[in-house]
Parts: sequence; structure tokens; C-alpha cells
Amino acid sequence: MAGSRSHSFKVVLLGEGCVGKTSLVLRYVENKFNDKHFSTLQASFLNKKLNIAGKRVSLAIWDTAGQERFHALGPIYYRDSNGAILVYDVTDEDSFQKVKTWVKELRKMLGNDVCLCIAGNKIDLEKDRAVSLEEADSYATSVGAKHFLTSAKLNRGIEELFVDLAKRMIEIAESSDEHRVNSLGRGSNPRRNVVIVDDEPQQQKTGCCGG
Amino acid sequence: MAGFSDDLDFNPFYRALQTNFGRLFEEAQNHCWLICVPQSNSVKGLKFSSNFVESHILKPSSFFTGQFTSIDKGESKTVELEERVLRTVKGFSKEETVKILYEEIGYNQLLKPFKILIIERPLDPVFHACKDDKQEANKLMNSTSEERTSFSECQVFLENFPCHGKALKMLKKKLYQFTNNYMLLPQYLHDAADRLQDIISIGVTDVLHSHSPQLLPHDPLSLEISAIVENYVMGYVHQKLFSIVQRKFADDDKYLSEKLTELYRMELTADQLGVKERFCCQLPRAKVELASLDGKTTPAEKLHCLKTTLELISEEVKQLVQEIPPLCPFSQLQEASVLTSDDLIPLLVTLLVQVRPRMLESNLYYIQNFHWHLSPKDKLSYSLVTFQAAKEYVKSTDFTFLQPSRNKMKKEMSLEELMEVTVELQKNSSKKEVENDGRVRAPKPFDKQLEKITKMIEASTQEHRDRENQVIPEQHHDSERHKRQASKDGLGEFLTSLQHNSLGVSFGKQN
Repeated sequence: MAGSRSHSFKVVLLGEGCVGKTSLVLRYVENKFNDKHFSTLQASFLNKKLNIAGKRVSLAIWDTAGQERFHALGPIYYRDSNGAILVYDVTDEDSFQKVKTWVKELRKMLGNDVCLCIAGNKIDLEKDRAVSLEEADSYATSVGAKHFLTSAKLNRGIEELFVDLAKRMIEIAESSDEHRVNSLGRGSNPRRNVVIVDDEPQQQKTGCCGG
Repeated sequence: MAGFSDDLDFNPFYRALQTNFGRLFEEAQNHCWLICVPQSNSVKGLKFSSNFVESHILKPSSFFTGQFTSIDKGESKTVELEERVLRTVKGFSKEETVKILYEEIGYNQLLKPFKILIIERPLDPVFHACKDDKQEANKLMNSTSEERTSFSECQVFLENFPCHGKALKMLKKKLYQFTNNYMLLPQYLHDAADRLQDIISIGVTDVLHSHSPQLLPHDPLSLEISAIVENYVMGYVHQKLFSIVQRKFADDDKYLSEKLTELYRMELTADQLGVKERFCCQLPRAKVELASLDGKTTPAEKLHCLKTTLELISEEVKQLVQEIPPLCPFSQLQEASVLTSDDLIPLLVTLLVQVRPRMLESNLYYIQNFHWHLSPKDKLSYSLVTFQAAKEYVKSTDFTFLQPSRNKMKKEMSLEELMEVTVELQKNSSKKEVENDGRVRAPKPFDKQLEKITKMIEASTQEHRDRENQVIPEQHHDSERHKRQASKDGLGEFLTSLQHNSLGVSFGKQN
């Protein structure tokens, strides 16, 4: 039963170097009571735990190299992802085009089970906007992603983005759990887990005899 | 799996809220009340009464901002929320200040946020837990917060439970058959993986069933035991199995090693790979850690070595970036000062060039395919993937057109430098052993590193003398004899067996 109350998700973070993806995610994991996050300057792997409708959700946020020269390494990072946050800079059209490339790659590799969030960051620089809201919204809809406008600087839109993403990932996880309910789920996974078998077989035996 | 104790999933009070007090918990969520969860260690073994629960779910006071009242009918208790503490004001047996350790955000069905504060101890000293000394298992769990990954650690742990005797005997019999009768072939490693998984699976079930009262599958100890059984099995078969893995990847290892040697001759530096100038530094501690990879004998141990290597890179770069205050608030945080994957990969590449591991392909394959007790989502997996990414980058990139470096690569570390690193680390580690709140902190990579460097220096000077003492799985009779001898000397069996590490040498730092 404990399994149904907690979820662990891998979320990959994609975005070109200067779109502010690191600030965005650091802003989200910031915790005023916990200094540990900022006692180190590494932002390549971050963890955030939250609770949604009584369920615990652990988000492992994997930063993915955004520079062009590392492009080929992307698939190594995407494997087993439940969600992806694709960040672009609303003042930089090229960064939005790059998001489109990644969306294609992610869909190709992970299919429709991966939840996508597209974040138009730096909305504090509204006057320099180069990517229109309509264009980004309609693109996101066309690829089954959600579009959010964010500002890491002003802490806008970030919490909404993560909560929405977590909620959608829970929905997908629970619906696939239902499909799997009658199997042990071993066959499809190339890396089998150690199954801890409880004493239930014995109890079942008693039930059988009794029945 | 480290960090059980701090995780709400394993917090007895939070579990009680989710199960026995579900209705109250739901009501609290619906009203977005403040939920105070005393940390696991402070409530271990406690039975939670309604009074306890109602005293730790707080709603905002109708009279004063910053004040909260308990949710019992009379709202009999009042608490004040200050900067980083909760102060009990009214209705408690005595006035106390309880530290807030961290905060988590929860969202109710309507996605309205509420706060969960993880606090140092229950709000009223009346509720404080008395230690349950009977639970041998818990004592063992608490003896160290570090995960057991080496063969000898796992062997010691499993043998310390008298109830495991029969299950371990069966397991050893199966492992003996595997190492002596099973023909391992490079092309059929997947079959070996299946067989080993089955041995582990049965071993875990047998070991868990031997406990009375029986351990529940989701008990933290059950999870730890299943990881330990896996490491024990893998450590047992390591010599035979890894030699076949090496044979399978001999060509790949050779190619990678030659390429790294070529880059070493070119004196490749981090700035040539586009790493920000302020992050370019020598990485002596990470280098020492990575150099120990081939000496590890279980996939889990190897993976921890990769993770520690990455942590040390971060720490060494952090030392360099002096101008960032260690606990800087977000507003001062410069994105340019944060180490992202774009920097970490090339930094790791330069480290690989300096260390030039000879069996990296074999090691990565071994971890990827023979370590099942691994979540594909956690930091350990992330470490593995980062190494895979760096390796792929080295293999697929043509480095001949790089700009000349501004810095000079430091090729070798002398013994004196190794000693300097040790002294420096010693200074660091002696600064604070115990955190302010009295909890023993988890060992930092620096501390672990200090221990390792000491071991390496000791080992290099004692190499010949101690060779015959090396512990290999088949030779555990030897360690049995040591144990018996030491028991006579008045040492406990557990302490004694801790003295036998994978290298089988006695190091100067032992007490």
C-alpha cells in the first residue's frame, strides 16, 4: 500500500546555456529552512519533495547539457524520464527553436508517456519579447505539452509549472499501474528489480483449503 | 538508499497520519493547516495518540498573526512560528523552542498549498521517545549512515544477525555452485545476470523470512537488507565475473585508454574544453577517488566511487569559487557561478584524461548490468549517466583542433602532494564532527577521501608485508580466526569484523 502513496519521478531539464534554466530550478528547490541545497554550487542534479493530495512525490531533476557540442549525449540522459522541462528565453527566438528540436527527440525516444512542460522564461523582460505567447501556446498544444510563462528573477510561474507537471506525472503513473496490476511488471523492464516476496502464498493456501 | 531517517516516507508519525489518522490528515489538508512532523529519530517507537496528532496539526490563531493553535476541540495549545523555530506558548507541559529542520510543501485535492514543517522533536517533552534498545536491527542501522557497499561490510552485517545462519548457508551453497560449476562466457553475460538475480531474489526472501517478528517488505531494514544481499552476492562472484566482463570489453577498454593517453600527451586542460575559467582547477581529491575504482569489488561500491568522484569535483571547484558565500540567498546567486552539466562533463573529461582508467568501459557495463538495487532516477544513476556521457564524448570527439591551453596540465601527484592533501583534509574534517543539533552528520566526501588517502599511503608502504592477508571470498576462514582471537581480546564480534576491510590490511587510523 505504501507504494501507492509515494511516487518518484525523473525530470530532465533542457534549455540552452543562457535561458536561465538553472536559476529557474534553483529557485524552485530553494528551501529557507534547509541550507544544504546552497552549501554546494552544483546544480546538475537536484531533488525536491512535495506532497500532492496525500501522496508524496519525489522529483529528481537532472540537468542536461544544453550546449550544441553535447547534443549527441542527450539520449543518455533522457532514458527513464517521466517528465521534461524545456526552457526557452522569451526574448530569444533561437532558444525556442531549440526547444522544438528537443521535443521531437523526447517524443521519439520516450513516446507519449513523458510529460512535457515548456517554460518561457524571463517574462520580466516582456518589452523585449521575441516569441509571441500565441505561437508558444499553440505549439505546446500541438505537441501535447503545457506552456508556462516564468520568471526566475521574480519567482513567477515556477511553482505552478512544477505542480502541474507533478500532477500529470502522477496521473500517468497511476494509469499505467492499473494496466500492470495483473502482472509483476518484470517482462517489459530490462532491469529487473529484486522482488521482496511476503508470506502471502501461505495465506492464500489456507484460503483455498478453506474455500 | 541512504537518508532513510530523514525521509517522510519512513517517518513513523507521517506514516501514522497517512494511515491511522487519515481522516484528520485529510481535514488538515483541506483547510491548509500547518503540519508539524517531528523527525524520525525523535518519534521512533512511539505510539501516537489523538492528543499527539492534534497537538502537531496547527491552525492559524484567530487573534494573533504568527500564532497557531492545536486542532483539538478547545484549541488548548498555542504555538508561535518564529524565524527558524516553533515556540510553544500555551497548553504545553513547559515552554520550549523547537528547531525547524526543513519545510516541505503539500497541495490538497484542489492544489491549494499547505506547509509541512519537519521539526527536531515533538512539541511537548511529554511526548519524547524512549530509546528502544531491544531492536538490534535498529542499532545496526544507526551505527552508520553510510551505505554498506563492499563485500566485507555486507558479510559482517549479514553475519551479525544470528537468525540469518540458515539462509546464509543456503546462499553460500548456491554461490559456491555458481563460481565452481557455472561456465561464464563473454557472449552470455545476460544469462549470468539472470542467474545472479534469481540467487539474490531467493537469498533476500530467505534472509527476510528468518527475522522474527517478520520484516515487512517496505520496512527500511528490509530494503537495506536486500541491497546488502545483492552486494554480498556480487562481491562473492566478483573475481570470476569481472574477469569475463573485462574480456568482453577488452577492445573497447583499449581504445578508450589509448585515446585518453593521447589526450594526456596533448596535455588537455579544462579551459580547452570550454570550461569557465573560474571553474578550471586541479582536482587532486577527485583524482585519488577515481583512481581507486578498479580496486572496488561490487557494482554498488564502484558506483559509489563514481558518485563520490563527482561530489569531489563539485567540492574542489567550490573551494576555488571563493567569492560565493556558502549560504547565499537566491537573489545573490549568479547562474554563472553554478556548476551545471555543461561544465561538469568537460571537467570530468579532463579528470579521465589525468587518471586514464584502464577498464572504464568494463566498469560502466558492470555497474549498468549487475546492479539491480538501483533506482534509475536517483543521484547514483545520475552519476553513472554522467560518466557514460563523458566517456561517449571522449570517444566521439576529435580533439585535434583544440585551441592551445592557457593553463598547464599538472601531470602527476607526488607522494608529498598526496600527504599535503591529507593534511589539508584533516584540518577540514576536524572543524566540526557533530552538527549543532547533536546529530551525527553523514560523512562528507572530504572525510571519506581523507580516510581513503590514508589507506592508500599505508597500503603502498605495506604492500608486500600484507599481501597474504588479502580477504577473498573463499578465504573467510581466516577472518573467522581473527574474529575469534579478537573476541578473546574483549572486542565485540561486530567491531572486530569491521576491522576487516576489503583490502585486508590494518591501517594506522584504526582505534
